[in-house]
Amino acid sequence: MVEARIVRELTALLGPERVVGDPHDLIVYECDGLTLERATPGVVVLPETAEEVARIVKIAHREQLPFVARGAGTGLSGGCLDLGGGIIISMARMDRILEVDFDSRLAMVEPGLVNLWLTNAVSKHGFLYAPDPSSQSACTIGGNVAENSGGPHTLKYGTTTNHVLGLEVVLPDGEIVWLGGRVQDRPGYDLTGVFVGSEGTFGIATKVVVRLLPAPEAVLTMLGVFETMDDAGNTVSQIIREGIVPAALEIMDQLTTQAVEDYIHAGYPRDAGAVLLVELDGPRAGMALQADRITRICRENHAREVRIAKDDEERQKLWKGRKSAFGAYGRITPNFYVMDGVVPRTRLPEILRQIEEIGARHGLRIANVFHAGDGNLHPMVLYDGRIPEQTSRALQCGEEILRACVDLGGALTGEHGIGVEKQNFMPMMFSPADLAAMERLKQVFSPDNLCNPGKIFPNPSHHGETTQRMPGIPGGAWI
Amino acid sequence: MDDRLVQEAEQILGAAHLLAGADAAPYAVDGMVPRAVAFPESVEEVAALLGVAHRLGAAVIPWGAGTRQDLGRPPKRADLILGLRRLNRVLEHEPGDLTASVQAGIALGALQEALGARGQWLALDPPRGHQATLGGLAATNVAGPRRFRYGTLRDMVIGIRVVGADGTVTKGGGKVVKNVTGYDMNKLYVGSLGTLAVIVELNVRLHPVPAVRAAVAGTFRSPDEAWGATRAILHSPLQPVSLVLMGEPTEHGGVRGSAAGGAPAGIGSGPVAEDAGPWVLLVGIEGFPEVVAGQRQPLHDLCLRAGARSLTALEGEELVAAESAMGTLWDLPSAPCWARCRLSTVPARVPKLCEVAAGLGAEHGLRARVASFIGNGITHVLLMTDAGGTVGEDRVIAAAEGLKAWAAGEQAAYVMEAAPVALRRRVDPWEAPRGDFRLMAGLKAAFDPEGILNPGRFIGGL
Amino acid sequence: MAEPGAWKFDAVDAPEADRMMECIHCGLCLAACPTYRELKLEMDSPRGRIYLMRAVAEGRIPMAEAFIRHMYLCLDCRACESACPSGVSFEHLVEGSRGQIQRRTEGLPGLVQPILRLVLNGLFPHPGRLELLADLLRLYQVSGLQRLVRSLHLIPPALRLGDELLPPNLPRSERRPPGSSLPPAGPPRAVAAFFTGCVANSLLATVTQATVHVLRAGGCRVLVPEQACCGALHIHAGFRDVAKGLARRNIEAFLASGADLIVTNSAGCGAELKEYRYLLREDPAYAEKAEAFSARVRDVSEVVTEFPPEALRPVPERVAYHDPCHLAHAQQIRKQPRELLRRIPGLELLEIENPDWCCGSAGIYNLLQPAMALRLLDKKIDTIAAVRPSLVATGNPGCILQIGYGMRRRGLQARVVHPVELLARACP
Repeated sequence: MVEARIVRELTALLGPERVVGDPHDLIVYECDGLTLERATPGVVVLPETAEEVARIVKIAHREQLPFVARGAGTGLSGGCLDLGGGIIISMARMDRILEVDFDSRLAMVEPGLVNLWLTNAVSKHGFLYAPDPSSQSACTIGGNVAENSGGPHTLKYGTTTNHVLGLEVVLPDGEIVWLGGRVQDRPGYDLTGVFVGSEGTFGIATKVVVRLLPAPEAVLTMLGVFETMDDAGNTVSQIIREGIVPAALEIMDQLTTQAVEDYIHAGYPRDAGAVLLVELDGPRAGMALQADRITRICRENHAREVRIAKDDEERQKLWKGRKSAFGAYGRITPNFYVMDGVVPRTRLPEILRQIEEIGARHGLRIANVFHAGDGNLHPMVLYDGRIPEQTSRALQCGEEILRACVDLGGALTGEHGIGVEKQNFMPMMFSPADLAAMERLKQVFSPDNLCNPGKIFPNPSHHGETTQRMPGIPGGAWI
Repeated sequence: MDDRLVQEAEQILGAAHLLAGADAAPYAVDGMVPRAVAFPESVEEVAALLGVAHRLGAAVIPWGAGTRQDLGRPPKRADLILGLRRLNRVLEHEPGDLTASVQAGIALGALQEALGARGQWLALDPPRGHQATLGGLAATNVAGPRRFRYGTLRDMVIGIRVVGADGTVTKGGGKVVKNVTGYDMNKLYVGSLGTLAVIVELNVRLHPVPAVRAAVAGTFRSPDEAWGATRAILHSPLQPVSLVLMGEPTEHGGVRGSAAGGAPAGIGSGPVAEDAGPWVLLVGIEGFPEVVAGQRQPLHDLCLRAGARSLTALEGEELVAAESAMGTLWDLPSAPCWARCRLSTVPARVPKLCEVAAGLGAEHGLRARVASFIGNGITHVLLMTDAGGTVGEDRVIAAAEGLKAWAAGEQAAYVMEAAPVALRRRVDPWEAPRGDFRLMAGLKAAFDPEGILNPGRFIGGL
Repeated sequence: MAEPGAWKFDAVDAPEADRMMECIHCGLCLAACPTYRELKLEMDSPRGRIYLMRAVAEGRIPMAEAFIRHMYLCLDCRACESACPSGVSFEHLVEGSRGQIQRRTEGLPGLVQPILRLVLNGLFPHPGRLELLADLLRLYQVSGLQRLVRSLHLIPPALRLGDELLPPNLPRSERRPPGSSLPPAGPPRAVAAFFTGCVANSLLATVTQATVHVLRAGGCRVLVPEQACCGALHIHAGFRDVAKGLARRNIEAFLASGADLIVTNSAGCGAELKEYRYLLREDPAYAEKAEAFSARVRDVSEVVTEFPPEALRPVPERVAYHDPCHLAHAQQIRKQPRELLRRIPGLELLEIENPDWCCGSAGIYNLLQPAMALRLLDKKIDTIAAVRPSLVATGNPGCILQIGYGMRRRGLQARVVHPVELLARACP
């Protein structure tokens, strides 16, 4: 609980419309897209300017209250949970595009801006904002900055960190500073680079300068149909080895295509072991030849069918099918638990076999849909939370899958972040010395540890104490 | 020898890989001869050496190929040169993953050769950067013109291993291109000029070697016209890999000898050659043959519409020659006094910067040459004077400080990235620290509390 | 429990727990939700509202002031359903919750609750009273009384927007001849029973006339059975029993007519008629009939694109099209109205930005929540004004009145019409 006098002070600063203090209201802020973990905040505030953010943070600093910024709450690692019963600073009202400069190919936006709205605003001028997490119709640029968000097109375009030039941030003591800016290569440490992906623990971004790219002249989407996941995985590696870098390479297994077809009839074959979705973009010249090369590679890897979407409608439908996978799971299982592991892409066939074994060992079905081009997996453990031991078995599966990813030279998370969800897995990848270096970095930004505390770093006592586990609700996922 | 630093280093390495006394003289940094020069062979040896230096409070200067030791302020102290040339192996390269793990002491040229044998490359083309080591390139984060398409090492390093100031070995990132596990420590060390830790290993993302490389070179009468062409390209869906503007600004936007600062050999022999302007815009394109072929004509048209006086399609040796001509800006000038400054502006301000450089050159009796990666707004200005001694220094300093002041007013970035040490003793090569300096000082204090790593060389004396 | 308010949903016609569980809390609905876009409060987002419903179902919070406020600030526009990857039927959940609120609590605070009861229970179920009111309103305008009342500022704030919404020069009501059967203009192709809708019929008679005209021109025999209000407004408000009564009357009347199709020109009514199957799912006597009824319901734009009138005359207008929520989101009908307009020679169809964002009308939402309704309306008018249309077309009476008011308020000349009115103009 936050003391009433502090709530009064915040209300005097922002007005009653922008302060949420009623306990009956606050419960909706107790989780993000990951419902497995919950923590009720003390108070929620909605500033509209950087100065207001600074004043709120100064109050928090003065009172030694923990605080955490929240965008749209679509995150999948519990990153914006207020574990300390302090202040959630919702950035949602700071959602303007402040400046667009096509000559410099950049835009300055506020952090609460919805990702897709930026592309919508610049597309009529032939530009786009490249990072496109699958939640892009709702997630915010500020949240993307915190999590260094990816998406299906990171294979070619990179993640958020490759597209952020500068940030205005409110530091955990309330000071407003600029990191980076409109120009590239500013001398000094790359503070912008370390801030992006720091999961909201270094301060609160209040302005973001992002790169804009010209929209590609042409886009082409292809579907390869395979009998086995191995064949689809090998196709991906061969495409890359032959020097082709598609905009996206996505694989779905049979469990997924069947669920998707039952739900929205996107045109995927129900009887195939795996489907591979390939998207090419770029200059129109030569695109057909690229498609021929990919068709050949698919055939060499025993594809039984290779199809090019004939028009925009078919293309949209294929993508809608891909992007609806998680919604579709919601209809074939009472609960699911989504992972976000990464392996080097040549190890895809191997990790998929291991995942199957892990599922079999625990008696649970695991569906797979993933960004194959990046080796970024989203295994989906299907379970029924009403059967108590199934929940713990699902969690156990998740842990074993991530361990397998790390053992193959991969990583715990490709785009969802560590948050509270995976903090205790960090030692799988990092030694105490590695973690100490990260801690040292954090201390520079946040010496009082008030800014989104309790995340990222291992905390064995955490689970079941600060947050309440909530196995009864399906884990949200839109990836 | 009664220097404990030398003794302990010798215990770690043996005498064969250690230089001391007069032997260390060739490794003088800005005139300071180190007490010892060590060439460790393993990460463990690097760690042990740093442990010793830390205990003894000895200042450590990491040294790759020594190609950029004239960047930054002269160090406050230089006790131990940590030469990394023996850490020069490719640890892993899996073409299907488009990634490689390398040791920091490998030279870029050697790495490209190894990768190229399997059809891939590290998409980094710093001018005259063949000898430079990966560790040095990462510490300085320098890049070449093709950064327009591929970014800099900042964008390519996916994992890093460093030895901290106290000798602790830590890592960040990993081996996969998409990874948000923990903080992005890669970004902390890349570009930190060896002031926070010594980089010993790097995992990098690679790209396929393009099947064809080509360029369209247009000559223009003024930077404004060249910007017009650049602007049209930036607004188009064309995907060039580099955009370089080269020339020698003179006060009236005029026509100082074209070959000297402007068109390299072979450029300007197009249809309107006699009237070729002194400014060259070199637009690189690469990829599959049909992709390159398909972009050449539209680029040609955009340049013509913007007022190009001549246009040349370059490929093969001609392209290499043109790129080499640009590279001369990075060669050690023969002029008695000089400095090369790098300024970052928004691209649209590059013509103005050319004008400012010309004005300062005229005012202070200097020649100025420009090579701008104009698509990124990164402009290198080489200032040269025939005057020697203090007079020459005064002139170059006055012009460089003029550029710095202009940059400050423009919110542009500035660094004098190369100059004789005499100059760098007299003037701060870095721009003035900004509001975020407090954090930078905090980082230095946290990661190198004793101040032994490259002390005093970086911005603000970090 | 010490806290006041009703605790937990009871078993009667409650929002279904299983349906709530289909929400995976991904948040994709947030940016689609008009109230979230305006307030940026999680409680006023679809995901947040479902979370609150769960909290009530689990006994964590009562159905009291906060819960009631958030449930009623929802426009029930169903834009969240278009955005939802899991296919959650948000409408059923929020309407079920309102039903519980109406049955088990004092309802909405202040004067709103009695007014709501009067309008919905006293007026809409009785076509005669509605027509009488329309006549009185016309008299109010024609006599100059409206001008006098407005100039003297005599209207209480709650009714001011209602007054403003009245289009100038109300046409005479289209007195529907019950039981009439109007033959097609050409060879017969289908038999369509026309559901006229209360508002269109009483305040927008020209739309009714145009609908009959284009249906006949396309080859439909048009039947007009004796009918009742569709009940949409009642369901929105939580008066589910009244709505069920209305639904049963309509089902009997229209099934008895024997028509192949049940056609309406009101998106709001159409959406509700298609939901009778859900509304009466637990009524053993009507579940099957409701299914048969709902399966036949079509929006007029669906019918005229299937049975289009031929040989159209040019209508030289620049027309901005606004997607009514209850067409675009509730019925997923986006293409047909545009196709209908594109068929008309000389007509230039203009796409506005975010054409399917709610205009704030939402049944009688604009009367209950005028502040929010006006915020949404202002944004809508901005996007319309940006394309400089000569006319605005939209297929829902509520939207026609709301946007018409918005245009007048800004001094914009373009009138708001139903797409079938334009088709009727083109149709000899």
